[in-house]
Amino acid sequence: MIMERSRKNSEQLKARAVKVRVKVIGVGDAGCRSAETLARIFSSAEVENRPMFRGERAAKNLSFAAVNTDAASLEKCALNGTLQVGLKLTHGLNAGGDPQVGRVAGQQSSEDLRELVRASDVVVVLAGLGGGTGTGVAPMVCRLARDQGACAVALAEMPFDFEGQKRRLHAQEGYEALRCESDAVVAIPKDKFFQSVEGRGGVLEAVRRVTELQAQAVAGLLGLTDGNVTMLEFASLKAALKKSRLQTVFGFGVGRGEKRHSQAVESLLASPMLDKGRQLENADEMIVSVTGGASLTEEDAQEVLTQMGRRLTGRAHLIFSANATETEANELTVAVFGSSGSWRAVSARFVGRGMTLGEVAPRGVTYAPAGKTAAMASASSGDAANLESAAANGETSTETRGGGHGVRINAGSTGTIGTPQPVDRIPQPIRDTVPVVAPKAVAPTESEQGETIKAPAVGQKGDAKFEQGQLPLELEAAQSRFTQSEPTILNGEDLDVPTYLRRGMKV
Amino acid sequence: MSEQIIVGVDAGTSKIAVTVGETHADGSVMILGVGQSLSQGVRKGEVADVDAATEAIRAAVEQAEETSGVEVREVYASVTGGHIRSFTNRGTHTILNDEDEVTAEDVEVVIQNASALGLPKENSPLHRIKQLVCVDGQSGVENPVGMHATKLEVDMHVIHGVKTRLQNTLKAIRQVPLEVQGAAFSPLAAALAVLTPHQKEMGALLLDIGGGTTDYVVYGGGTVRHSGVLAVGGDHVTNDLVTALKIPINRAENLKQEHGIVELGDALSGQEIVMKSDVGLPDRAVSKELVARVMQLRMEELLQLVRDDLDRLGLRQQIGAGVYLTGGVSRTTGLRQLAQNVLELPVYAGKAETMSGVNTALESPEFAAAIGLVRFGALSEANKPRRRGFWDKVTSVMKI
Repeated sequence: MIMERSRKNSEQLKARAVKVRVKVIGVGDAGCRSAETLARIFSSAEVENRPMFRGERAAKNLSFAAVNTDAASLEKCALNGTLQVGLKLTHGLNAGGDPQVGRVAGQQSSEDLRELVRASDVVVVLAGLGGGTGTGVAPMVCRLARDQGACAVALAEMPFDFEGQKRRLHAQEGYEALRCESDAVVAIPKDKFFQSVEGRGGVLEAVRRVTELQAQAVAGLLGLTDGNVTMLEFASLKAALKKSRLQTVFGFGVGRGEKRHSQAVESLLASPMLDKGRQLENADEMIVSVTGGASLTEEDAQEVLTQMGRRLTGRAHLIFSANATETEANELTVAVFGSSGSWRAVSARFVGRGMTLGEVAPRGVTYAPAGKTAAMASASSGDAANLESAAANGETSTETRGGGHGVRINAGSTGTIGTPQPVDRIPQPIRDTVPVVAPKAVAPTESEQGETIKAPAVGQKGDAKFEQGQLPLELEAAQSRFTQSEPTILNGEDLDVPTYLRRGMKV
Repeated sequence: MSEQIIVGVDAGTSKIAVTVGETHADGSVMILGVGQSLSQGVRKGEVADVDAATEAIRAAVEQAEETSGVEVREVYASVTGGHIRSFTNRGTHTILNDEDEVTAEDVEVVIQNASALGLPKENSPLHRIKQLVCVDGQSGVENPVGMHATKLEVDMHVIHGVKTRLQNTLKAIRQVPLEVQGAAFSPLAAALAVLTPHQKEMGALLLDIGGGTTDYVVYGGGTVRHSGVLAVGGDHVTNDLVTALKIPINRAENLKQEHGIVELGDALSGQEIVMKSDVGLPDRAVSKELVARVMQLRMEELLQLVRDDLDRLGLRQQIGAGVYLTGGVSRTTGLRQLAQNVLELPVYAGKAETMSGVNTALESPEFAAAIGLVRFGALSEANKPRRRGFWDKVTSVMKI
């Protein structure tokens, strides 16, 4: 693991006047409930022996808000900061499980939302995906937060399997939108917690544990922003979070007593989302927050990292902070955000197989077939302004080989706010990251049948084949299954070419 | 015919199946054991990588040996490939001897006459099937030997393929090492397992849609009227999905097998298939309607090509008993209905005639050819005296 940290001596730490302002916003029914619970946990009354939830210190920089379409639900919410959205649309009723309604409601109240996220450095959005408000409004809140320079981190609950396919698909949409609009989104599948309860708890227990996880994540983020034993520059944190990751997971561990370091790490690896630590092994980036009682030292933090290093062999880039709270407890907690994959890596991997970046963008976004010179555009906006700015930044890629680079044209389903996207969000052109994929050497290198597919030049089939110019170039990759046999030509037609293409069907 | 152990090796593009069977005096066949393995090195029904194919065949043979308790040394093989063709010729022969009696030699001569025409230089006949025997204009003669006649006419259906390409499959099997006692054109073997004499009499089409090829044979009047191969199969469907959905082959294969469907309908609109990523989180959703449309276009085209071939010879009207589907692709949801629509004939799922000793796995359509090979072997053994030399060994003028 590669580590990066900045040390400051304690004087400088104390002198640091600027605090990082963290706002937790619950969106939708589940999100609001979670926000409410978290506010309770973080208030001084609940602290007791939970140093990580830090009581009074938290209160200074941590604020909560609830956003919903359902007026009645907001009424019952114990939080002070509540915002009703979409009054004109839903008239105080909920979004009826329709993300589109949620989106429009959010758009209607965009000014209010913008005001809500103002004056925050880190905005944590809590939402349950699959319904209307959470799914539709959460991405918007993230976007607005980023627009004004904050870090947007979403902690999104994914529906249980039994909630049905429709909710799952909406949740999928929402997750992908969040992936584009936030700096990091942690998808929390409720099913994972349902199972880990092992039949004792059931749904309510699973939900309770998910909320607990969200609390731990927020605590972890807080710890990252105000480490007093080992400080992490907010700029570094921001940079790490803003790396356009494909997937972020979160894990939490706690240890007590003499062996608290190793205990904490063991407990961390047992975290339901981490798949016995495998997720961290595959992570490209790890952001670690170590918290302990007043006696916590840098050595303690080091020991925790060492323990992690013993158990994880990944290649992650790691940043961390360590915090000592005012309690006497002999408890040590470690919270880890692990993220892997990147837009760039995705495009490199999939381009080799003829996929375009459009495939990982939210639905409702269409793209032109490959072969055309294209600019890599961020999925979140695709209006002409973005394309132009991308082109102006010299990010056009003239590479037409190896599969498509799609031009993404937003069909408008994610809602247009109209603000041009900051340039730093556009992924880098893949010229420099894609290994040169020779046209004739593309072949799937994985095959569950374990066969070694040799990759002869596609052109070897001879002149009986169709003319190269007529087909989308992704086809070359797809045809490697047939390169070892002669083409099936019948009545002048190459039957190896997909029927839907020869019949002119559009996908 | 005493009890005999016959082993069939069906080396296809998707899977290798090896069946060990025992034939009984009354003609019945009992399957003792079956071996299966994922195929390697076979493309569009033909062996492209002999060594890889040998490995896969060996694995299947070993499994068959284990389940049957029989050591396998000699086998009957199935062959297919886009190069295989067939034609029907009429051969005539005038009886020249004094008694005007038809002898066995006369029959051989007329068969040779019929077979020789139309066979390209580099091809070898795989089967020479007697269709119709006419003695002095009188048809429907079973065995003309001993009859009085001046003119003998025989319609022969010859199935042939490029010698070297046929040899590749046999070579892969011989390398295991095994001895190849005979080879059968794949759909013929499947028909042996699936079709009853009644169905063959009434007219039936056996359509075997596998991973690499679609093979078919048409029966009428109890004998083979026509056969054919299209080098298009399940792999093409997968490939179409790879291109349409921009997903890797293994994902497309899983998607096809789990959710594949070739019937369109309002029920599908808006339905999505959510593919899970490795962590079990939903990764991508693809439209089920799109999957169905892509698959349907491919399968429809395939069926249309078969139909067109049948129409060329006016055979569709003669298929009285209907169409029997075998091969892995025949499992596709909605395929039966699609085939009915395109071929305008009743379509059924071909099931290997229940032979004693069978377990449920053998009822699945992928095993029809492998099971049929055992029967083919049994028939070949019965016809043994007629064979001379290797190629004569494999070409058999027998009632199949």
